[in-house]
Amino acid sequence: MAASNARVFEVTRQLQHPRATVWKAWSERDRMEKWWGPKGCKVRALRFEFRPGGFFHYSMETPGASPMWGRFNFLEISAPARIVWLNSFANQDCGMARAPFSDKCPLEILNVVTFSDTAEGTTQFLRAEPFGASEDEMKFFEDLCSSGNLAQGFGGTFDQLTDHLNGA
Amino acid sequence: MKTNLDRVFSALADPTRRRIVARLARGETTVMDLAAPFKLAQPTISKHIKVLERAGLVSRGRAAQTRPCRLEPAPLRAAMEWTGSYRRLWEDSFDRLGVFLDSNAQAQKKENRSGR
Repeated sequence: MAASNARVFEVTRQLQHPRATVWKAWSERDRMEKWWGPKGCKVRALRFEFRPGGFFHYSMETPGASPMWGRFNFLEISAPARIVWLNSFANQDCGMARAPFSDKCPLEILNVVTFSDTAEGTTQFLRAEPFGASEDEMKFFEDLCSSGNLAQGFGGTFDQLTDHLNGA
Repeated sequence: MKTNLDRVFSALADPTRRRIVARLARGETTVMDLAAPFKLAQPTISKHIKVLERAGLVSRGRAAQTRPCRLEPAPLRAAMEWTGSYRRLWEDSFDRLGVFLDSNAQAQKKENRSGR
């Protein structure tokens, strides 16, 4: 892993769709619900205020487990080019909350997504970094960014179990 | 306050307990059978199983005297969702965004063809 800037996370995606369509997918409640979220979770928007200072408050539901909540706090919206927001776990009432899996996970992540036109469609570029995090939290985020961190710690157990769970 | 997920993660932090979980993924069994491959006394294994039970990962039968141990997949599945990285969260989401945009574009095309 590049030691240069492990504390900033970046991901780029080429989409074969016009920028206006991609922007809609990010800016409308019904559309956002359809694609955003951890794999296997049903995401439901409880609040969706797509404006600076507004919140996207959502529940994440996994069958058989208690629901979790998260939120986007939008800081800047420049249609159709750029969205800036703080992402964190939340409680049921849209208050900020610690990650359910660790006290060391940064409370807030600052995200910037930019969209630009290409010949085939749109380039979507996301940049994320911890916001106001302590040294410990920074280190945790570093681990979180390097793929497979926690899963690695658990050895091959999870690989072995995937089939079992898929069949269950 | 410890959430259930905290308990799941700390239960799985121990290699012996992970091996027990891996064994139970193949099917339910008794504490005695579970203890056999380990060089551990049965009470030690029982202690590990109690930790797994508290995390909701393992349940035990009531009927039989041997009270067989069974793996409970739900909390494990929830924990697995969180073992991915921030990168995976976004890669997965972007995958779904691509699929969503494609299917929308197809629906649009159909609508246009039918002259609406």
